[in-house]
Amino acid sequence: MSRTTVIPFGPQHPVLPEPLHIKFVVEDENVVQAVPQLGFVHRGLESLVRTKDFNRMVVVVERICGICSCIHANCYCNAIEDMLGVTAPPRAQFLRVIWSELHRIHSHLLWLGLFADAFGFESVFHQFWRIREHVMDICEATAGNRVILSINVVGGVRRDLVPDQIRWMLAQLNEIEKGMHELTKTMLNDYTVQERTRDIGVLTKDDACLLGAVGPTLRGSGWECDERMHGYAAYKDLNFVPVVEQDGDCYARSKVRFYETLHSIALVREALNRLPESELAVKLPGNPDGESVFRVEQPRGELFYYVRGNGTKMLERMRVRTPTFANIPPLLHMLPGCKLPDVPVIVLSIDPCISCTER
Amino acid sequence: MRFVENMIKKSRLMSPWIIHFDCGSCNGCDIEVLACLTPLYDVERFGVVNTGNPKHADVLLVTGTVNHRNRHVLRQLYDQMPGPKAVVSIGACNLSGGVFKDSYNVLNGAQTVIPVDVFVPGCPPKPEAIIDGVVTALNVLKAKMGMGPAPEPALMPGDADVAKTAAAAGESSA
Amino acid sequence: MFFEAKSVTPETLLDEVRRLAEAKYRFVTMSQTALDERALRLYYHFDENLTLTDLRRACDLFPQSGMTHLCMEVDKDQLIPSISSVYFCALLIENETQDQFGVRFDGLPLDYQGALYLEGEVARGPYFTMTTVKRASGEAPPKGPQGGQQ
Repeated sequence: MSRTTVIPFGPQHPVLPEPLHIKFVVEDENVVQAVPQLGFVHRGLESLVRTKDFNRMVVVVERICGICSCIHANCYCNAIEDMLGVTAPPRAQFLRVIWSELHRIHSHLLWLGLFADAFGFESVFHQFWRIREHVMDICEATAGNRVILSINVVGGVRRDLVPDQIRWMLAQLNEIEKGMHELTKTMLNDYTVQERTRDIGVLTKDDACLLGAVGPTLRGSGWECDERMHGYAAYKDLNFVPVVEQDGDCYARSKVRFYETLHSIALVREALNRLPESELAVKLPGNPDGESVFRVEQPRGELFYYVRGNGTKMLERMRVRTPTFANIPPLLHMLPGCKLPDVPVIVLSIDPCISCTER
Repeated sequence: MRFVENMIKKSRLMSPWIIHFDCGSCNGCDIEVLACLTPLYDVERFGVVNTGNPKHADVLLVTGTVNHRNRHVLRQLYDQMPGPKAVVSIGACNLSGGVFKDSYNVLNGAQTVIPVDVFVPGCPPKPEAIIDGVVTALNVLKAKMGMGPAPEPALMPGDADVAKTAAAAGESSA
Repeated sequence: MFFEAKSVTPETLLDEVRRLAEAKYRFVTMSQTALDERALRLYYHFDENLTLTDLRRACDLFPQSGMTHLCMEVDKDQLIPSISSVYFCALLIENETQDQFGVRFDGLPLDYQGALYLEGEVARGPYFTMTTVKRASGEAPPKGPQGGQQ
C-alpha cells in the first residue's frame, strides 16, 4: 500500500547549502517525480551589459559565480577579443590557464568535500577543505583575493608572476598532490563510499547526450568531451587529456573529478615551467561590433557565452549558458526512481551551482 | 532564580548557534562562511555551531543579493528565530546590492527587508572578517540581553568625515 | 568567433532539430536578442560530440569547431514551436525566454507561465521594455504581446 506525498526541498535546507527548491513527489520512500523551482538567486545581470561598458563588464561576469570567477572572465574576454580581432599575448594565455586550473583544483576539492559530507563522511570533508586552503593561499598571494580573482582584462591579464612566486607555487602544489594521494584510498576504495555512490543516479551514454549534460556528468557517462580539447588559451600547447569514466553513476562522476584535480595540478605545473616571456596585454583597436560565441570548460562543464556588440562601448546583448543550467535536465531524469535518502548524493553529484544557473 | 537566568544568558553567549542563509550570492561569501567551519579557521572551537534550523539559532548570517523572490524566505527565517537575535550581513551584494545594484531584480541590501546589526563589507570578505563580524554580533546580543553596552559603530578607514557627522547625529538619536 | 547560422522558419524548425537529434548532436543552448520592439532573433546552438583525434586536427584551423547554429527570426506576438519534444533539456531555456522577452512557446511539457525567475511584483519582460521607439504624438501604441510591461 503506497501513499503519495509531496516533499518540498529547499531553499533553506540543512543538507543543501544553496537555495535550490525542488518539489519531490514520493511514494513511501521512492521518488516518482521532481519539479524544480528556480529564481531565488536570479539577479538579471545579463541586462547590466546595457549600463556598463564592455571593459567594466568583466567585473560583473566574475561575480556570476565565485567558485569559477576567473573562468567566466576568461570566456567573456575571449568572446570580445574574437569580435575585436585581437589575440592575447602568449604569456597572458599561459597565465589564464594557470589561474583557471587553480580555480578548477579549488572547486573540485570543495566539491569532493561537500560530496563526502552528503553521505555523512564528515572527516573526509574536513580533510579536503584543509588541502583546499593551500590553493586559497596561492590565489591570495598571486591574485590578491582568495575567491574572486580579478586578473582578466579584455586583451590579456593584469597581473604577472615573478620567479620567486613560481618556486613557492610549485612547492605548494606538491603539498596539495601529497594530500590528494593520501585521500585516494579513503575516497575511491572505501567500502562505505562505494555502497553510497555506486549504481546510484545512473545516466546512460545516450541519455547524457540527448539531455544535454556537460562536464564531469557527461564525461562520467563515457563521452570524451571537454572544451579544453578545443585548445583555447594555452591548452593547445599543453599536454591535456580528458578524464573519462564509463559507468555513469555518482561514483564515476566523483572519480572523474578526483582525477581531474590531479590532472589540473599537472597542467599548472607544466604551464608554470613553460611560461613564455611576452607583454601582458594588447591594446584594443576599438569597440566590439558583431556577434560572437565562445565556449570554455568550467569545473562543472561547458560554459557558453553569446555576445552581440553594436560598435559602441556598451554591448547590446550578452547571454550566458552555465554548466549547471545544462545539468538540471539530466538531474530531473536521474531523480525519479531513487530512494529519498539518496537524493542529496544525486543532487550533489552534478555539482550544482545555483548562482551560475540563474545569474 | 536570578543566578540561573544569568547562567543561561552567559552560556548562550559562550556558544552561539548560527544559521546561514544564502540569499543569492555568487557563492563567494558562502564558501568563505563555510571555510570558517573547516580546520584552518575552525570556529567550532569557540562553541559556534552551524545549524540548519532557524528555531535553534541565535545569529543569522545573510549573504548575497536580496531579490524579489527570496526576500519572503529571508523574512520568514528571521521571524522564526527566537529573540534576542542578531543579524550579520556579509558581502558587498548583501550590504547594498553591490555591482548588481542597477539590475531589475535586485533589492538594495538585506537591511531593506530585516533589521541588520552588523555589516561585514568585502567581495568576498575574508574568513577572519566574518569571524570578527560574528564576535561583534555577540556583543550586540549581549546588549540586547541587558548585560553590557552596545558596541561602538566601527567605521572604515577614510570614513573620518562620515564619523564626525554620525557622531553629531548619533547624540540626538541615541 | 564570428559564426555562421543556418536560417530556419517556425515551420521548418522542428524537422531540422529532429535531423540533428538523430545525428546525435548535443543541444547546447539558445540565445535570444531583441532586434526591435516586435522582432526577436533566436539562435539554437548544437554541438557535435567529436573525439579527441578529430579535434586535434581541426582546432588549429577553427578554434571553436564542432558547433552548428540555427537562426530563426520570429514576431513576439506569434506562438513559437517548442523543441522540448525532441530535446527535453530545451525546457528550461524556453521558459527563461518566456520570462525575459514576454513571448509564448507552444507545447511546453512544464510551463512556468513566465514565472520561472520572477515574482509577480517585478515588471514583466525585462528585456522587452528596454527598446525605445519614437512615436508620433497621438498615435496609439501598438498592442503589446502577452507579458509585456503593463
